[in-house]
Amino acid sequence: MPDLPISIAANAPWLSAHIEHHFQRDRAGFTLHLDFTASAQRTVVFGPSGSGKSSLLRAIAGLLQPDVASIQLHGTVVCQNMRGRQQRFFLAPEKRRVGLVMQNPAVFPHLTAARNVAFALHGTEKSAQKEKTIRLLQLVEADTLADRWPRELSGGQLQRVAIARTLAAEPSVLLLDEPFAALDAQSRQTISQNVHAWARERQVPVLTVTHNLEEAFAAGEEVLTMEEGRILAQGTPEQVLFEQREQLLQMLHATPSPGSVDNLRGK
Amino acid sequence: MDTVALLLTLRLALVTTAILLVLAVPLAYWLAFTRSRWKTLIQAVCSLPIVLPPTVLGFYLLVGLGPSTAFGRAITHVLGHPLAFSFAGLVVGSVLYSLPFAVQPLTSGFAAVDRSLLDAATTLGSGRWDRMARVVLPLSRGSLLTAGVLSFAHTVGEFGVVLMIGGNLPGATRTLSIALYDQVQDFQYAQANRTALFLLAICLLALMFLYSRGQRRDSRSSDLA
Amino acid sequence: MFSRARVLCVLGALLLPATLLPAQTKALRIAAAADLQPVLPAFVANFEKSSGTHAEVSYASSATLATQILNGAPYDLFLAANLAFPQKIVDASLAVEPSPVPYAQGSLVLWARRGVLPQSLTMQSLTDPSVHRIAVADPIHAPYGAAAMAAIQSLGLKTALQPKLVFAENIAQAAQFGQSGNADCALISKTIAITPTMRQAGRFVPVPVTAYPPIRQGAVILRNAPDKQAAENFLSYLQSPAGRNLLLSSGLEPPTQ
Repeated sequence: MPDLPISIAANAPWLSAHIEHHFQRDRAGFTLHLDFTASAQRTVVFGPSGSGKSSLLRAIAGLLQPDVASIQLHGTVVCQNMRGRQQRFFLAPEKRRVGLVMQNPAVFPHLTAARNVAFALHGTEKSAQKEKTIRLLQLVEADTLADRWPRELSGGQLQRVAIARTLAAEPSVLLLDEPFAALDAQSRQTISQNVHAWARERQVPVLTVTHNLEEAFAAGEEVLTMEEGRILAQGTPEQVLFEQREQLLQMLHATPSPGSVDNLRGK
Repeated sequence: MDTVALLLTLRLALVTTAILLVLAVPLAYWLAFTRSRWKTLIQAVCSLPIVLPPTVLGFYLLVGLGPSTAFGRAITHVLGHPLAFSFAGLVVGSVLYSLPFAVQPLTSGFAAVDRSLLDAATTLGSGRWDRMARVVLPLSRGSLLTAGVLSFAHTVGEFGVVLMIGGNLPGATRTLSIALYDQVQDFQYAQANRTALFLLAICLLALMFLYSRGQRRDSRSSDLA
Repeated sequence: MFSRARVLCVLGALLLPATLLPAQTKALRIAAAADLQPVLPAFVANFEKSSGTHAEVSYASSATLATQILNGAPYDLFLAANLAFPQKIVDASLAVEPSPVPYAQGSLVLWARRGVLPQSLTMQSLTDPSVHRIAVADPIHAPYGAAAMAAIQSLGLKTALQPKLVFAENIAQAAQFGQSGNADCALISKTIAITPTMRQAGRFVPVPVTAYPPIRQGAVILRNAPDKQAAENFLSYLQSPAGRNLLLSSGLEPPTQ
């Protein structure tokens, strides 16, 4: 499916987030301080490792309960914990319908690949489960692995299973944390395309986190750049690339990322 | 050997182990994942029987749960007899006395489950108890087995509590350890020796079973590495 | 979890006083049957005052004490609740005397907790359905337990009472089962029944003396006793007129020959 340009302003934001959280990591600590909205079908968060990207995803998914936060998904409050306000609210992560594929695929070692994918389908009709599992494994080009145990799979294969498993839960929002990192270039492109097609079909917005600059600016309709827990810039890839050129170059020096600005310029 | 006492001991150990697993799984699950400030207290209370003399437990079961207290009278009313001198009383005593032997292996087993697997299950819509049933428990089968075997063996080896609240009733409260005590008191050393050897063998086999499993797991994980 | 050095430090701290302190002042060590628990403290106090020798008493069932002595427990004097257990000590050549010395004769009583069998308290009334549990000392461990079983048997109550019986390790535990309310009645020694605690918790009647063989309590001085003289003095005190009076007031008769 060809990528159609979608106007950002035309859509209501599917995510509105204000997050403040202090991590006592070492003596210095680390503070996450974000305030943004996302309305594009495909949003990419770009930043060096350690800039707080994964924590942002965990906060949206509800795995992290920030010190101060107000998060809305599709217009519904899932977390409300603002300073001085009386009313506090925290929707349990299992009720948020947020699909999160983490860097660590975390495939259940006691279940086969197929039963991992079927994990979220527990309690539904068996034949439907089976059919859906096969379809999703095909989508990530892993249908031959259905009956294999996680200990027999490579890192890339585990990531495919993790992606299929997340899609099976029918999330209303898809958060991807470097999900294709362990895949070879060829599969990365196909599987990435398949996943985004799957999401577009269902109007499920996708938020991808990456420290690969090339990936960030090629895939996103909207790009956010992050550094040290803060957002540096937000906009279309062109806008951000133009405005933040200096900072991005600086960031590149600090990151062992394979992408480069020169590559992008050539496109 | 005293077959009645043997059968009673096995029955007591089985019933106690079954009850303990049902009680200890949710308790250990809570202990493994809670951030409550009560955790330390509950953890300490659960471990008390390891260090506490069984006579303390015996004393409270006999006096605290005896007919001289309101709680004891309520129990007497429900059971139709006091807890003391009954199989039910021994079960209550054994469950309390062996609690740490079930809770501790389970708590450490549960705590060792990779958090990222739990996070994954959560984002897949799996709630607290569903995660326990479908992720934590299947991944803690070894700990479940350890908890079961240790509870069983520890109950077989129980003496002080039984002596204090049992009343030495054949078929109801006269366990093997008490039978052994009587045989020694009665100068029947040959019989006592048979009973003692049997108890020794049961406990040795149970521990060897656990350690052999531990070794297999160790060698397997080093194969993988 | 614990470093070896720390464990050694703790062990050292525990052991040091034992090695540094002078050997403990000599004491008379008495192994006494549980029915003597309320009786002996007065004797020990008087004995210590008059002789200046400190006495320490360990109470348990006669069988438990006999087993301990046969296996080398360091006692000087064994005060049993029958003649058979001290005879075992004699047989094992561990006693000074050629046969146990009778020092008292005990009586068995039927004790009932307050409110139990208010009309009439007799052995026969134990068959009443309101009596659920009767505590008895273990007949193997305790002579009073054997006497209680003999009485039940000879009064033809065995079949009726058997399901109600619970067995305690010794006579003091049998009394405790009754006092704590876990048993309604108890067959115990008079020495324990007349203590204030037991009197407060219930009442008692003597079991007919014809129903059970006399409980003749015997003593032996142990061969390995470091201070046989002190043991002899204590035993003579028990048998002296003053001692007999004190025994009598504690619920023990002088021995019959």
